[in-house]
Amino acid sequence: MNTHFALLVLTLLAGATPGAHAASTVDLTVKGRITPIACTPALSNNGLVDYGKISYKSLSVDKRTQLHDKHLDFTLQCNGPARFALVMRDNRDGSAIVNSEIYYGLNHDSRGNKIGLYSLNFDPTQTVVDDLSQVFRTDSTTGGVAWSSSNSRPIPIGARSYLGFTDIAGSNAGPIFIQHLTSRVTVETVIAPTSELDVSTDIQLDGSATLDVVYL
Amino acid sequence: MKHCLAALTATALIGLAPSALAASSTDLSVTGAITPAACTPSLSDGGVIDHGKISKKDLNAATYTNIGVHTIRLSVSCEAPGTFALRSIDNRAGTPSNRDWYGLGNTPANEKIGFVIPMMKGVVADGQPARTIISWDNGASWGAHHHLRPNILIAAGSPSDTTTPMIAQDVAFEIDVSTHIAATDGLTLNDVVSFDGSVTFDMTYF
Amino acid sequence: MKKYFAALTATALIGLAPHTLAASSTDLSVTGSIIPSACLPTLSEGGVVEYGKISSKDLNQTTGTYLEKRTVILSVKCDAPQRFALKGVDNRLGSSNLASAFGLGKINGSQNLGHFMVSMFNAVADGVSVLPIKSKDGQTGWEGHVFWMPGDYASVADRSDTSQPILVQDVAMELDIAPFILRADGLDLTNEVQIDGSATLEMNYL
Repeated sequence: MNTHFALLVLTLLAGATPGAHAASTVDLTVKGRITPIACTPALSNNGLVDYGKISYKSLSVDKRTQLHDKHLDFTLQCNGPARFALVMRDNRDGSAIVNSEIYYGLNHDSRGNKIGLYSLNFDPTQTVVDDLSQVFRTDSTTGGVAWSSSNSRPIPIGARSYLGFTDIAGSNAGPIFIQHLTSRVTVETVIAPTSELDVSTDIQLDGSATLDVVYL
Repeated sequence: MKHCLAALTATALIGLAPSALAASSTDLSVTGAITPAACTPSLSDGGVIDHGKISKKDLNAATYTNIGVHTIRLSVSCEAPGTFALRSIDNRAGTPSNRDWYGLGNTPANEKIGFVIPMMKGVVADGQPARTIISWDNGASWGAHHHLRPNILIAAGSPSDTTTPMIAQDVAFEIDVSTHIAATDGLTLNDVVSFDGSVTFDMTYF
Repeated sequence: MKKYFAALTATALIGLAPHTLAASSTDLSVTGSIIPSACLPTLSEGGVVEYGKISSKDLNQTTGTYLEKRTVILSVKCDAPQRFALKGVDNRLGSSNLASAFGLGKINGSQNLGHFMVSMFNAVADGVSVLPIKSKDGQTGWEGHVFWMPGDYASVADRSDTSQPILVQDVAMELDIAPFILRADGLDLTNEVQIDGSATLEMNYL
């Protein structure tokens, strides 16, 4: 028996596990964490912003018209200090007249034209967190892996970017642990030029989004 | 024999959106309606107030002169009941000799001729008495007021609530318009000087 | 080293077995073949499906909770046309409440957390749409089936004949991953709990 054959046999005997060649595998991992921490978000007025009836003649024919800013109070209560971020899903996805994660759709008119868009804006200077005297905002486009340098400028919430809050300006560490947060948020709404809409019948502004707490 | 072990890299996130789980979410709805119902404003007498010819001698030299009050009706007629607002635009901006009011234009020597004061007398909405309400902040807030100023918004409010425009279909505002010429000491009036106030009432989104 | 020594001994024994008595001997054969080609399985996103942090309050107390379904792409690349069978091994065996699904680990080493199901869709081999098939032993009983259960071998076949894995070189298919957490009122969630599903797909050559 030459050495080559012996080695061959060795390898087959030593390496065999039933039915498998251990040499070629790939692992599938399903992971996550279930935490006892719970944060409940809420918007005043049941989250309803109603612009009532707008005569199309008062809107611009050839330019977009920005409607009046509307304000709501946003509150978040957690059952303990929690590290979280906020995102908002567009339930009318694809209907915003400008395609961006910060613009949410108002649905379409009867001819399928996109009616407009709105954004929901958070202002750190109008935000109160626990007993902090100042609040700064930070955001992450990497699902919470890296965070922008925190500052106090208003920012619109997005569908993918995480929005977080901290007590230090210029921090890249991401959100701090927070138990209560209150913020006066602003909805900014824009309607498409009426020349791009079918204004012969009522056009219903139909924006619907869901604000989610993401646990970090 | 080559080992073909597929490399396991560090955690990557697939899809950042969390599952739609109830307690950690809240909904935002943005509603309203754009209606085809339009409102059309119009002014009585074709919107013209003509003072005719006025002699310099009948005017005050050292102070302004009120040369007359005319009542006009500003009507707003809508195809369906709704709320509306009008913006009053001074087409002679920069020329009122009193900067709180609307202008009358300048003399050839570039002197401000005078000013116009519109005062709300009464308003009727769909046959019922109403109030004129005014907004200084583009419709964010409203209050009852008598005098019109350039660039403000005007609407009709119900007598019981002057904080927001009321729903109405036909509204008529009665306005007393008084015209004032500036002190003639400051005006070069050697030749005939025409004065020419011009205000536009514009249906506007608010 | 020990392993090799044991194998060496076995070889030595085989090699030295006497042939003297025909009736009292029996032959052991060790067979196999070495194929020149190899197939490399890979999963998109490094094979990691990450659900992040989920609040226990968001879980259904009495009926269990389906987490959002995610899709990973399984690709198999062979350096020459090859028939293969990929075995799905549950590395958390015993922690699934369903035999047809993979486990998600245990809470405190004792409570089952739930399971995840894997289903196969949209298989394409060398540019042609093919059907995912599976077998319990990797050799026989192949059938077109969507669900890949722990211990099953998966391969691909022609749409017209699902009983035979076909020769392929470049395969891609979608794996839908659907985790389920058992009813929360039966789980101890007072401390943070890991969702810990792990499976290994092992390449076998046919």
